[in-house]
Amino acid sequence: MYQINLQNIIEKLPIMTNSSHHCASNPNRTQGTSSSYKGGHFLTSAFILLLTLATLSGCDTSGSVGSDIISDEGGTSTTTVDVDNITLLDTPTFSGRLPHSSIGLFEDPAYGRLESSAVIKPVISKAQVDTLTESNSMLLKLIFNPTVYGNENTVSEFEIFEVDEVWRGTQLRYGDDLAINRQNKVGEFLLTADEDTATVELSDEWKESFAEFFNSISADRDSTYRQNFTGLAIVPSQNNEVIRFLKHAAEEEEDEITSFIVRSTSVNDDGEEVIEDEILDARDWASVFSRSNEPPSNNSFIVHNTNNVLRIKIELPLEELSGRNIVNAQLFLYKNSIPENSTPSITRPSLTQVRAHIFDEQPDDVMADIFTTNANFFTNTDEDEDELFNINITQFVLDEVYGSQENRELYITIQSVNGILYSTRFFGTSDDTLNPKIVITTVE
Amino acid sequence: MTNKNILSLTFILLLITFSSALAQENDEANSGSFYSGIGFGSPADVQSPYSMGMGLSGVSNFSGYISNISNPGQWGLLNFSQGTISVKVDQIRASDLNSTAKNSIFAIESFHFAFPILRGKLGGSLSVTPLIRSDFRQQQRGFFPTPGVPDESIEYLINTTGSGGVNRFELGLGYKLNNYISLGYGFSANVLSLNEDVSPIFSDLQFLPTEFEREIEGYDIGHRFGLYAFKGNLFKEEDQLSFGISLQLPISISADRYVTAFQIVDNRRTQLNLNENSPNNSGNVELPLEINTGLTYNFSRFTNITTEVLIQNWSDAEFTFNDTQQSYFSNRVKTGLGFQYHPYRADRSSGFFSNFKYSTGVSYDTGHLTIHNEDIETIMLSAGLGIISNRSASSIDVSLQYGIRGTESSNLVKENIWGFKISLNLAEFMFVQQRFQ
Repeated sequence: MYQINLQNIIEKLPIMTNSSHHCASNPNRTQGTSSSYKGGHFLTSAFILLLTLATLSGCDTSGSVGSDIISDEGGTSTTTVDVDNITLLDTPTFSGRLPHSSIGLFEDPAYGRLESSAVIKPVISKAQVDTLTESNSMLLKLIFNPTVYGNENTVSEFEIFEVDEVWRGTQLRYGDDLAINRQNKVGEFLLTADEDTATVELSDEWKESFAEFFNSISADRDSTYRQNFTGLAIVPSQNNEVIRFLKHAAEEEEDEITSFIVRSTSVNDDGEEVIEDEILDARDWASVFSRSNEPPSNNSFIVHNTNNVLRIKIELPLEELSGRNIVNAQLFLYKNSIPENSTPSITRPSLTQVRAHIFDEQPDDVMADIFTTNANFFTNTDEDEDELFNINITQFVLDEVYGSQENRELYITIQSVNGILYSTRFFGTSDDTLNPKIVITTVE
Repeated sequence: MTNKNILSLTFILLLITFSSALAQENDEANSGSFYSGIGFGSPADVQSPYSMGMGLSGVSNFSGYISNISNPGQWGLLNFSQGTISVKVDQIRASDLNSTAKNSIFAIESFHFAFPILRGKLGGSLSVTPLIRSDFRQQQRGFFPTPGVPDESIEYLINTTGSGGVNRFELGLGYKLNNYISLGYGFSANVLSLNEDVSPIFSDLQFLPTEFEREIEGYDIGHRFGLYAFKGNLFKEEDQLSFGISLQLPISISADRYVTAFQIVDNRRTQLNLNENSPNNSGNVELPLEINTGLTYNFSRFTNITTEVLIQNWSDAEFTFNDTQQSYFSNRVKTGLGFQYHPYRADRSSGFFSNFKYSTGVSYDTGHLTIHNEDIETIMLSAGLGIISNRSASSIDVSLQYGIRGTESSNLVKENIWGFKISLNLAEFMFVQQRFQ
């Protein structure tokens, strides 16, 4: 019955010796059912065993073996793109209603002659004071930020005059001029380097003119005041060698800010003089700033936060980059500190931030758009330790290489517009090593 | 439910459960040999369940109840329909001169269904088996100068997880020429699917840890031939000498390479094709000619000894996507020797331990890679147990392997491998009208 010479003749299948197999001729139905059931157990056990194996096999503790063999595979690479197409825009930003106003005069060999007056007018709200009477006097309480620009150990002299034209802080920009009535001095004061507060009594004549608006009961009291009252100008004398910054915003709740004081003097029952001060906040304020005699830039980009924007058109090697996994792109701007370092006695506000804005369309008023929008990219550095500003523009490069928008420009400004004066000088495009550049890192 | 229905249901469940464990993409932590990350992977060396306890392919081992995937020449001898599904678990401790790593992999070894068309004369075969496996994890650590600050550096770590390989979907026929010789042929579609997930990490958080994926895909048809010859009663009664040989022709796959990553572009998560302009988008992947031959001598129906030689001409293999790794390919020879004991074949059972099949074997493999002038050799010891069902023609084969691959010299990687395989073997009279109900 067996075929000769086949290997299966030497195997004995269990069903050939076991009469209980379902194909065998055992007519016993119960046994047959039992056999079939046991076969199912056999297979089920195998199935469970396989599942168990699958469950137990997921534990890896991957190490870094063989890195010498694969070290020539992939890794990182960098592409450096020199930035040649840079335009320095001179477009003043807003100078009013900022957290600070600048007042002073300073001849900076690195950045030119800076002269700044502050203009300010008080509120006419009657929340604190109901009526200005003849017995009241008015004072201007000036609170200064410790930051100074210039020769910080000098004494500053300031005079206060009436402004001779109507102005609005939200409309004034750095470089705008305002007529000042220098014939009618309202007050004056001296400020030493270590002082951060000055209280100046204002003239009765000015107080009277202000009281007319303040005490008015007409319905158009507020608009009349806004359209006609010119406020005060705090003007530095021509001998000043420092610029100070008035505080208009409290960093902390207890901080004092620049304001007006309405003082009432009376005599109490004991015959003693009693002084009561009520505060009138400033309603509007601004800096009236000018810069002149700027030194030549000498292949550098001199950037002031008051009026300069670097417009950078980046010409990326799109074809080269389009197949790359871009993980980082940084714009490098190197600060040229040589002019600043040549005048070590001069104190300048430390530059700690460089910002970059992107606009889908070229803006008509770039400074207004920068002023009203958050920066797309920025870098914060400690200027004392670093003369390199690198802005992470990875997303910009990704959008340029893989996105639908191309040839957008970066608008670079320094610091924020907060009323404090910042200036810096970046190496220009003709410098061999410290020129502006973009370094793009890719992973393969 | 009938036994036949249970068999069918179980088989289908196994197929569904383990289909993801073929040599294809797998998201789970599942990695094997470090060397499978070089080129397009390592040879899978699929073994027939009957011989896997010896660590041999089984090209010269025939069993009437366990399908043989190694030699198409045996398919013409079938009397039973046979199905097998095999899975394996490997745990690999890898080390080089600097560090160690521990990886484990669960993978399907093969799925094979063979059936008689003319019983004992003509048989057919359907199978899915991996030819090449690539399951690995690699770490690449390095430094590069901080952009703009050459005095400082940024450390990076690139983790690469690879999976996939080449799977063979084969349809074959076997024909018994006479009482001594049987021939077979397999026609296959061979699908290449290599996937690498690359995850970079940087010490500077300004650098995006953008993961990206490399894929190489392609397919080609393949041809396999087999011959099985046997002669019984050669030196004594009930002995048998059998010889098997299979020939797999080279498989040349024209493959395409894709590199993709997801990035935020224009405020949207966007898939980027990173090799759009690369000249290396397409290439050739060629699997080498393979000759597998073996000789088995059955002393009796209880014992047999088997020796095998496998030759693969890897110096002719191609992986044009990476010339450096292609240069590592070198001809491969794998030899093995195994012994089996079948006490269950006795007419009467002589105790619990006589119900099993016992196998053991050893193999030496020169490897298909020569790196830094060192062959990546493998020595493997195997032992197996066959669990024979006393109620059906089905069986389970389990085997344990221990091996050493590679060397730590020349900055290479040495791997200590513990492997476990299990195969579920089903055999049944299918397509035969039953005479007894």
